[in-house]
Amino acid sequence: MILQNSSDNPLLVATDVVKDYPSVKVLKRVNVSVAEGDTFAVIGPNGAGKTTLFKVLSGEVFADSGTVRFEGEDVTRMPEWKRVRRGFGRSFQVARVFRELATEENVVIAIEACERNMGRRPTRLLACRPSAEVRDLVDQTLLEVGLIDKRAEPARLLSHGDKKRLELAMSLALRPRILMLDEPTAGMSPADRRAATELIATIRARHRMTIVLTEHDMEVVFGLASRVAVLHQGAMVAIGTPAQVRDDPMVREIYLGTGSGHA
Amino acid sequence: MTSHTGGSTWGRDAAIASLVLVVLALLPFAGDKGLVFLAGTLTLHVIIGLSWNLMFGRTGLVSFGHASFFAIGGYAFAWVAKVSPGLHPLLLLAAAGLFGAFVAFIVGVIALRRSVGVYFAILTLALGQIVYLLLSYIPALGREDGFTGIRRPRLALGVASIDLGSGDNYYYFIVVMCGVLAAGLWWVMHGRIGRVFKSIQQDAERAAFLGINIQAYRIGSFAIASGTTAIAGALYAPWLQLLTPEVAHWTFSARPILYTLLGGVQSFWGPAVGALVFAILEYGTRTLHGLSEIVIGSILLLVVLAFPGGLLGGLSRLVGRIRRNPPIAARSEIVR
Repeated sequence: MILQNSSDNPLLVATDVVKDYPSVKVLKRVNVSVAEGDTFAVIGPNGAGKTTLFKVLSGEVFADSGTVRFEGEDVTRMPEWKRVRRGFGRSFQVARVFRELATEENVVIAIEACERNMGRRPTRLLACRPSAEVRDLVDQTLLEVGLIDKRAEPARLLSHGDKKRLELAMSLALRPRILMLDEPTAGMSPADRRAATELIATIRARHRMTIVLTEHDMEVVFGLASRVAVLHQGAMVAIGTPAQVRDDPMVREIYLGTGSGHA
Repeated sequence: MTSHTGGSTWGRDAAIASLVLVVLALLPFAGDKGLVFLAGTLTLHVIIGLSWNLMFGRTGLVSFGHASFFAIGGYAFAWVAKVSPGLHPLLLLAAAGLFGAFVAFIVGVIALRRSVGVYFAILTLALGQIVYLLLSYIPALGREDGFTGIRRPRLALGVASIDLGSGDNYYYFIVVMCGVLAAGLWWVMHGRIGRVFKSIQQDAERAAFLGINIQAYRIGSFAIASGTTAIAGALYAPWLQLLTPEVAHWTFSARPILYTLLGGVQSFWGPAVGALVFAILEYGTRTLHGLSEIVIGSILLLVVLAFPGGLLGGLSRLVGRIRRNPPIAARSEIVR
């Protein structure tokens, strides 16, 4: 088993994270270290604690014990909105967008939030309409994720895949240092899945972003990840490069199911 | 029915507002004193409804104690005007509004700490009852008999000075002030802050993951709505020239809720339409002793069941059907 903690330049480090829900121990002293520039994938069977780990890292819930550090700063008990202001961006397993608003309005809200997060004051305080710069950024962002044709559509009418794109656009608009994607291709058709994988790869290349993602689909994981961590029953059983993890006998047994009957 | 209709709702809403102001301005020439009094009161109720919907429709907060801020503003105005009579009425109004907003801020900091929804609704209901009881017990505020002898002030405006006590002057003062308040609420709802409020109403968790401090904005929305209603209350005090604790009663807090559900939560004008229809119903059934509430209640029930989006929601669906378009639930009010 491989448990090397690389990281010459760790951006996000979780140490001995424990999280219990009343009836189950979900995370048992989990250690994670994500280096700047990594695409870090957390995989594991259903119920392994991937989403809980994700929530602890992003600030949706707090760890019972252990610490989470971002750029050396202790953020263990920092609420999500403050973490976002330090450079977190995240998407949800089931895309969450502002359903009653138009696609472009969703992005406007994200871009204006980003302006506020960075402490920039709007140029015209009294204007109701978003500023020209904001509108330009909206166009750019929508072009980037391929939603420019659906800009005026109410977000609730978008397809599942397009909602995911919109959510990605909103996260991108924040210009995060670390982008956290909770199952970015969940529930997509194989074609959509490939398109989404390519989109994430393109975005990563263009913005040089650090990415943390959880994923079920191995094709997506091995297509994107530079490092893979395997979570099993709330414990981290392997961390390494995709090739290392793929060849790890224990991982094969508990997760990939090759070679053993009880996976 | 989205972006390409050209222009936000600014042009349309300005036109509607101008029309309403013209009608209100001409009313004293057409109607008797009773009608003018009803119109002035209705205008104040419109502000109560619009400000409540800033919380509910735009931020997702349900307050059951909105009337308490109306009372707080009214009593604050009346009391300060009595103890220091020389103050400028606009200063008094601003002070009443700020006081209402301040009370809301304190309540909000406590009540909105952890949760919203029913918890917040019940707390505001409790606040309403506390204000109601305090007003009934404090001797300086007239206890149960009410605060009497509130005078309509003289309005000094640099060059001219208008006696608001004579003729229909105070009526016009109410109309102008309510116009300013409504314009302010419109601006809040349609500008940058309004977009943040709307995002919280739609999905607070998502908004938090955009870096939005949702608690601060919820408190902000609560304070703005309550401050605006407090100014409406301050305008009401010299209008009736009498305040009783009844203005803080929970039945009065139900008014803006009914206006909003009746008129429509999605539209800016929904609560205004609701207040107007409610006033007409009340006026029309005023002679039916005991039956009035039953008639009004049944009509409200009917409207809410038949038009879940209120009267304006029903109207926009009807227009949509005529144009063979889907209903206009998500009109792009923000961009272009």
